[in-house]
Amino acid sequence: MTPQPRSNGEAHAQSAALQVRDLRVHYDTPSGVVQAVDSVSFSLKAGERFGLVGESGSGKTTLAMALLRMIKPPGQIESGQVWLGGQDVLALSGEEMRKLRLAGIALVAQGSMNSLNPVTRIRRQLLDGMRDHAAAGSNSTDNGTSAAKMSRREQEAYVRDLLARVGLEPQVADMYPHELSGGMKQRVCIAMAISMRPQVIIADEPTSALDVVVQMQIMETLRRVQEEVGAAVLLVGHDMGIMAQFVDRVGVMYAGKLVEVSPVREIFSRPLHPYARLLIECLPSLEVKDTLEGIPGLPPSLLERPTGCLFHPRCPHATTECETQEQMLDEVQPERWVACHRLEQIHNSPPETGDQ
Amino acid sequence: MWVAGYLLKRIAFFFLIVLTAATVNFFLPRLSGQDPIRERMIKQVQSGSAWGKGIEEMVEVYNAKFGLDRPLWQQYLTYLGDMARFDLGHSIAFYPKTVKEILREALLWTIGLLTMTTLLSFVFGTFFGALVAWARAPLWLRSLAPPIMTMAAIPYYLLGLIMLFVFAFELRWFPGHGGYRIGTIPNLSWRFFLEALEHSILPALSILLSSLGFWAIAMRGMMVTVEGEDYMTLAEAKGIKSSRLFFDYGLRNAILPQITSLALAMGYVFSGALLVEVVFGFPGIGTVLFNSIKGVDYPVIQGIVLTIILTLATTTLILDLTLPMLDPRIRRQT
Ligand SMILES: Nc1ncnc2c1ncn2[C@@H]1O[C@H](COP(=O)(O)OP(=O)(O)O)[C@@H](O)[C@H]1O
Ligand code: SF4
Ligand SMILES: [Mg+2]
Repeated sequence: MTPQPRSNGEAHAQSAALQVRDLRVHYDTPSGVVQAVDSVSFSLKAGERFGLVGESGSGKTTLAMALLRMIKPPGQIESGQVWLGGQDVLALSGEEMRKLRLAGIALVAQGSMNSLNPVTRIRRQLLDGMRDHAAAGSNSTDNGTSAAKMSRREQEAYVRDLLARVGLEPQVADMYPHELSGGMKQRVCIAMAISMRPQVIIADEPTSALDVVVQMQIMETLRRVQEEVGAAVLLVGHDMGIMAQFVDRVGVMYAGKLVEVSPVREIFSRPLHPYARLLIECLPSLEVKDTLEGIPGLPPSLLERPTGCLFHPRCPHATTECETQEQMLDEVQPERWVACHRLEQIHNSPPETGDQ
Repeated sequence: MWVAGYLLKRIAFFFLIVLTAATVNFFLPRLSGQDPIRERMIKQVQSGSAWGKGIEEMVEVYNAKFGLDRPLWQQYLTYLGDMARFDLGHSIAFYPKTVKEILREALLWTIGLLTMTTLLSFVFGTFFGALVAWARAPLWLRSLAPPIMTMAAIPYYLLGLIMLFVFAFELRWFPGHGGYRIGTIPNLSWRFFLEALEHSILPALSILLSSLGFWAIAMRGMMVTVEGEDYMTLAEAKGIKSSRLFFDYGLRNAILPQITSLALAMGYVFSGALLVEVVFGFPGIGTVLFNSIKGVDYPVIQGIVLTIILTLATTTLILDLTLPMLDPRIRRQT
């Protein structure tokens, strides 16, 4: 399914694992309102891998956390809709939302050293989430696994199975996080994420802080288990190399907005949006650092956002129209959604300054 | 395997501390150049209770009696031997009472008052501080925070004086002095216990109120730090229940530094006792120390200092033995 920003979507909500419509999130800071996510719409098919890229500060993490409804003050989900399967996520009660986490939508946090509770054993951390989902039948997932109902032996078998799926020895269950390497910890996190067979896994830069070889192993593990449980994945990241290998489609975020959503092959071979183009073409190493040396200008302050197309101060193709007219994401070619006024001029005319 | 080695190391360390402290305790007063027997004699002469004549002979007799005439190293060895048996000799001021007897009486009061209040304020303060930092805690509870934290800024002896003035002298709700009524002889009856309890309320309350905030402030700070950790975010994303999030992830981690502080606080209980006990005339170890310093009663002073050091060393040992159980990361470093 492609984004359906303007359709009314009940029917689509059924067929997509996740559908996001016109989602807006802001932070109310002392220096002003930061519009971190601005009218974002996209959807994930069941089992699909979707990559979200963009410079740091473009709102990727905010978007990811909004899907879990874990935006903390001063942040706030302003408007929009999030559908998980047939469930209207933003309409759930707090308790219903808690139960939906892990069971319906799970998180693999950043590959930092600190995602596991340092003072309890891995076994306990693999089981406690399931334990707290014990009350039967209140979530929509069709799995019957509930740690509370399991006997000790069943729990043990379950933990073994989870660890084996992510390529870890059963002994890991008895260890504490500080006894594991970064890669092993991230495998544990992946095991947790699939423990209740969610429809959607959100992975926010899951391999940052890991070295390259381990990164690839972790991504492969994630791909394998994701296919096994049939979950869709939203992969947030800035490593284009990983994106190219892992995802089916890519969404490019700029200053809180999605500016292009395209299948991965096509966006890498022929990016349409000028920002996506700079992002991909200007990267010899295929890795976006915190600031993009290849792209002139600074990312806009989300406090004082430009009018019109947010990218116009840095865009080599900008005209006066771009400064005033906002452009919505539109399906300009089959499966390709782009937000830019001047696509035809840019791609039909000979290269201008800034192009190769 | 690490357990045995770790235990041995800790216990050896314990004895080393005690030995060092005992040694310092022995030499330090002797370096001060005071002569306890002579000073005592002179005092008695001044107050007219002894004859000025023959004072030198008496000093000699007493020095021999207390072993102060022998060479220093001999005194030291005897001292160490005595220490090992916890034989602290006789009090000079209350001769022939032994230091042990004096300490035993005083310790009961001090342990009853200070150990209890320290533990209670730790438990309540820590829990309260954790709840104050917890955004999901009820508002009425969090609104108690400012007064309790303000109280922590008042030194407990000052709070003690204020309470003494208000509740003992103005309102006359509670007795203002001592551990029991004048004329009562301490015994093991229920009535005596109630009497002692009544006398303990004001000093206990002043310590409790002023230290509650201390624990609460420290715990709140730790809890806020812990709440910002990645594992809290991930735990929430796992749909963990709020209560488990609080106890298993928040409290379990935030309490670790508190426990270190508790061990230190327990060690300082006796030294910290001094002011409160003096303010309230409470017959505990603080009052005894106060009086024995005034009376240059070396054996008692030494006994008390040794007791303080022993409790410090013991609590440190207990801490060393329990912390690895609470924090698995410590096991690796040792
Ligand atoms: N807790 C917060 N308070 C205020 N502003 C925030 C907060 N978290 C994020 N922001 C702002 O929201 C914007 C998007 O941040 P983020 O979602 O973390 O971006 P990304 O993950 O793409 O780096 C940034 O401008 C950032 O400054
Ligand atoms: S709308 Fe204008 S400024 Fe924005 S990307 Fe397209 S050409 Fe550039
Ligand atoms: Mg981020």
